Amino acid sequence: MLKVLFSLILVSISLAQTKVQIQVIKNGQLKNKKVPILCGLNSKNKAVPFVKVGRNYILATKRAKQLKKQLSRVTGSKLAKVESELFKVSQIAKKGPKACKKSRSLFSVVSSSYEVSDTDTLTLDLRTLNYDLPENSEFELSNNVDYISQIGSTLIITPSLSSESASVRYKAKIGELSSNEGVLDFSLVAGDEFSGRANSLNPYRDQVTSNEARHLLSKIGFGGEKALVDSIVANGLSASVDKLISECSLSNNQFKVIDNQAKALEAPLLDVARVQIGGVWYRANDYKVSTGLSKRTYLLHHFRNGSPLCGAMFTFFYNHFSTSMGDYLGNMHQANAADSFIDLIMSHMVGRYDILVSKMHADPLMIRWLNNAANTHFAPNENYGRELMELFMLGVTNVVSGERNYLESDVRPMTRAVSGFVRHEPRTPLIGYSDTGSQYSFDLWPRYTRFDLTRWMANPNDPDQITLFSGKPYSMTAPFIANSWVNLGTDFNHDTLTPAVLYNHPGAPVYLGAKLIGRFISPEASKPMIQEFSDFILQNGYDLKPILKKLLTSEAMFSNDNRHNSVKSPIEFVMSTIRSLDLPLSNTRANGGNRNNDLYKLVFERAASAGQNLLYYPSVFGVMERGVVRNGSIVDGADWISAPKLLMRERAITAYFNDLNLYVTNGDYAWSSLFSKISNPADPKNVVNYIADALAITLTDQERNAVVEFMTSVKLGTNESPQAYTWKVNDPGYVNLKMPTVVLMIAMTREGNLA
Amino acid sequence: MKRRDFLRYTAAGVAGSMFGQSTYLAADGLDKNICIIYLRGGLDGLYSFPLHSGDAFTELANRRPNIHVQPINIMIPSAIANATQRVGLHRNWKRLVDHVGNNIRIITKCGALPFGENPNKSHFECQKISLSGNLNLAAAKGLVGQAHNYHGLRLFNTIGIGGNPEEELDSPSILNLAGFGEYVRLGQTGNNYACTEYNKTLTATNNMLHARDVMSQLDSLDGNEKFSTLFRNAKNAMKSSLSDVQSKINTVSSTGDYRRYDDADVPQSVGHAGNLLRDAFKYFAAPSLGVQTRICQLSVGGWDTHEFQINALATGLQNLAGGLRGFVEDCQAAGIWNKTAVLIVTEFGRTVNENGGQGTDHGFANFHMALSGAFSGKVIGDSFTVNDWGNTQHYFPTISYLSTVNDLFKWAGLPLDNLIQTPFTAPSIGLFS
Repeated sequence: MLKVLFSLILVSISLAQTKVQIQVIKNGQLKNKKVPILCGLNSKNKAVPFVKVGRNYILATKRAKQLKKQLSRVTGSKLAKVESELFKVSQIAKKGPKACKKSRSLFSVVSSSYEVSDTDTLTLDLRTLNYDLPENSEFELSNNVDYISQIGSTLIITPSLSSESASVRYKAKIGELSSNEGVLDFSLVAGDEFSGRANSLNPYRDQVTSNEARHLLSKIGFGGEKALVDSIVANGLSASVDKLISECSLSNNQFKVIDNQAKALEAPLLDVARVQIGGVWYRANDYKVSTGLSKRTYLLHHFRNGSPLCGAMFTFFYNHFSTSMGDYLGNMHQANAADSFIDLIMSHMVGRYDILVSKMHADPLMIRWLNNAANTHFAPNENYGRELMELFMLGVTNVVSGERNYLESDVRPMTRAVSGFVRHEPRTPLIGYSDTGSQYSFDLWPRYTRFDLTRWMANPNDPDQITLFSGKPYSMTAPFIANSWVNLGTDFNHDTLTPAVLYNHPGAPVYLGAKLIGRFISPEASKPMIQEFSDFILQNGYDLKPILKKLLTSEAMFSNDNRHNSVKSPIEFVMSTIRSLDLPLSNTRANGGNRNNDLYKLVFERAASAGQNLLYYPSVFGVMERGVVRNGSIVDGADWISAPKLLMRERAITAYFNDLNLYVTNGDYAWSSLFSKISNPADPKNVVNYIADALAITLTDQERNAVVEFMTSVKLGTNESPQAYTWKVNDPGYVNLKMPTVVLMIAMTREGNLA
Repeated sequence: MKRRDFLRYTAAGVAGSMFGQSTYLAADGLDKNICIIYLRGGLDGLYSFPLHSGDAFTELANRRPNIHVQPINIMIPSAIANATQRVGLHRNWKRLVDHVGNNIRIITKCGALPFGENPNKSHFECQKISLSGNLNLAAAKGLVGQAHNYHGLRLFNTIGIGGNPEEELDSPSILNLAGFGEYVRLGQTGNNYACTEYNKTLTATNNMLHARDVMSQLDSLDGNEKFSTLFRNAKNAMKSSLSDVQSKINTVSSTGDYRRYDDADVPQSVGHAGNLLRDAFKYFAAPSLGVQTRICQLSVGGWDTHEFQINALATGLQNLAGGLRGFVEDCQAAGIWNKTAVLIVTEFGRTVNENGGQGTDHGFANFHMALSGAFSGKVIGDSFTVNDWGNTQHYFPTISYLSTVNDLFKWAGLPLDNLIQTPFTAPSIGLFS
């Protein structure tokens, strides 16, 4: 890794030593001897001699005074030793100034420019340069240097990765000596791929390679097409991440385009939102009513075509605020609430986390899901208050300190603090129509919630004040949500509870930080890194834009140690395979079959079979995807891997291609669109390499050869050995036989399932 | 198994313990069936097993104005009529009580012991604790799984029925170690589905067979990187075990006729709990599974009654009771009821006081219930007094739920002492003596 040669450094260093001739006592005799001294500047900026005492240098005159004092306190052999040293130091103090005046350089380290990798740590062993620096030397760092330290006489320098050049400017302070300033200049060249430090949140170099861009998209989890990879390489990391983030924002034009497409796709599906009343089926004449079918189409269109980060952040927050929407999506009365819940996450997934939490208190679906609508002054209900701490804001244990974030005794006051929400009246009326034209008025759930006067803090003279986290330094009294009719759908300012906890409880930013680091970087992140990140979260007011940028552009993101260290969720696995190979995801039914037989439905259901039934999570705990914090540690996603779940992943890919051919393309999928991106696809090895690269998988030669062998042979009978066959890129029949299985076998490798 | 091992684990082991040996211990010592029903969410024991008299009963009525169990809705089987604990069963259990009321044992004040200071009552943590038997949650492998690992012997066959593969309970902490080696869900989803899908690939095109051969080569190259072992084991299980699982499921599924509790007036052994219990019966009655003691765990959700508890428990308990009635009748008809035991557990209890939604919040202690043709009715555990509740919302555990599970294993003739590796002992409560 180190690209600087020490030999180069050796010839570049000019020493600050000189020698003086003094008398020494040897075997009871006085003899002349030349001894080395070190010259430096005293407080009057005059060059004077220093002597070394232990690891430190001090003024020779000062040392002489020290030794004189010691004379009266020592006896025997020690006395002789002190006398001998005093004799020597006194002569140096006397003769040294003259010699130092002749010294051409005082501690200066003059260097030519060094070429060093931008991710290398440069280690200079100053002893090898015959130059001792004491431990208390001080260094001034120039810009563009992240880290410098000294262990003994070894100086360790790490240039910043975000620069093209760096220099170390230092002052070696030795006792009262100030040296001339030394400078080491570095010109930086690109280091190896994935050479970021595993636990550093400092920015990685802006110019990333294609492999690094694919890795980024793999970590995000939803992959990316070749065009997206190319744009990241062309535009640089910082600008590209900005774009990935901004395109998940409601106000972004590109987001609006995708969102409109997604809504247009789901609209025709909404008339299946039906409810049976008195034996008659009614359907709502209102496209705002959701169904599971329409919502999965809506989401998967975003996942396939929008910023890959949208999929990552939606699934992250859907799991964070986990609900099973099965009861709601299929119920016309409640579907409005399900719709607004999804909207809420989509609206804030790259916005302010504290606002998202605050709005969750008032979400009509959430207050029913966790019973907070029944939590009043007169009769508390602890469900939401508990999960607000355990799952939404704090987690049980602080993963950095190991301390419990809250106690059972905090559940009660928190329950009081969030009391008083009721469903807003009047509710939205909606007319449904039966197939025969009769009408029925539906009593839809509201999209917003308001406060009721039954809240606990209704009486300001309530002697039993709310105190959260009693006895802790961050104990807080009476944080609450304003006692008034406030529509939290639009008004955030009246909530003092959420900011009180998120900004004052040390466990809150750590919880979010650990989850995000675990989700995007590593489930084994160091505690200092998590703490550093949580500090950053606080400094940035829970604004997810800078928070996500910090993560996605960090050295840790691009550390070799953090590659393939967690398991993709089933939806990520399927979607990243489809996106990275630029395969279609469509509801087009070329054969005019049942409209349920589209690829959106298939992907959703196959992912569910593999363990991730999005929108229908089993409980408030969601799924054990990477990044989830449980029992004081970060989940790595290993729960996704078992025999039946792996098998379902495999079947998801095969079923995708079956349905792609059967329902979507009206024949075989045109693999020529993929081959057009590959240089010389007539060579099967190029095809294999392209697919592996696109999926961010590193194949060994053996693995590559095995796949190539598969492409160039056919098995004609169940019990027969494969026979050689020529790979024909222009033979659609043969290509379509082989290519789905080629994708399958590469995607199903261990690395194919990992992020 | 060697003869000395057999003796150690069965008769000799039992005789040396503080438990009475079951009179139903068969000649081979290992032919018991154990069905553990895990009620996810925290069943309200004070509602399901209500007090029927005394000061505590009166106080409870005050604290639960809307959900208190009226005396007319309390059933008291004769076997426990004189029990000092003054505990009965809610009428929602009627279908079961009518049939085997005097075979029911109720255990009061169960919970995680030792009872630490300010324990957390999160569902997740408490489920992990109660399923793993491990307060510090380390190396949790499930109650049965721990026993299996502890002895390294396959003394019994285990399956889990019910629950969803994707939910948090489907983790290594469930009873998924012995027997099939995977968490098996009978029915149309889970492993059964996986088996069907796998068999499709095995009988698919020659191209797919060819591909599978190649994929085997790729799998072998996983090396020793992170997750390599996990993937290798899963893929090996996918390739080899699933066929075996399929054959076992087929064996179970093809088990002959079973009776269904068929009373038009009440929910019968259909619905979620009923279907699970029907599968459990099939499993117990199936021949030739290779082991003699069969253990299954059912996972039934819907007991987290923060709101409208009366309605939720009316449906839940009646369905469960109907399912159990069908299960019992099936076992009786098959002649295995006397060697079959059911244990009903849940992660925690609920608050003494009613909350704002005519429901209850998370509490500390709970009730367990056991029944078997081999047992007479009994109430085990401490009585309730007004002092239990004082100014708090709670009552507290005095019996470790591990004691009930330990006792259950002992009844089955499985390894006894220190069966479950915990930081503390789980003394016998004489549950099955």
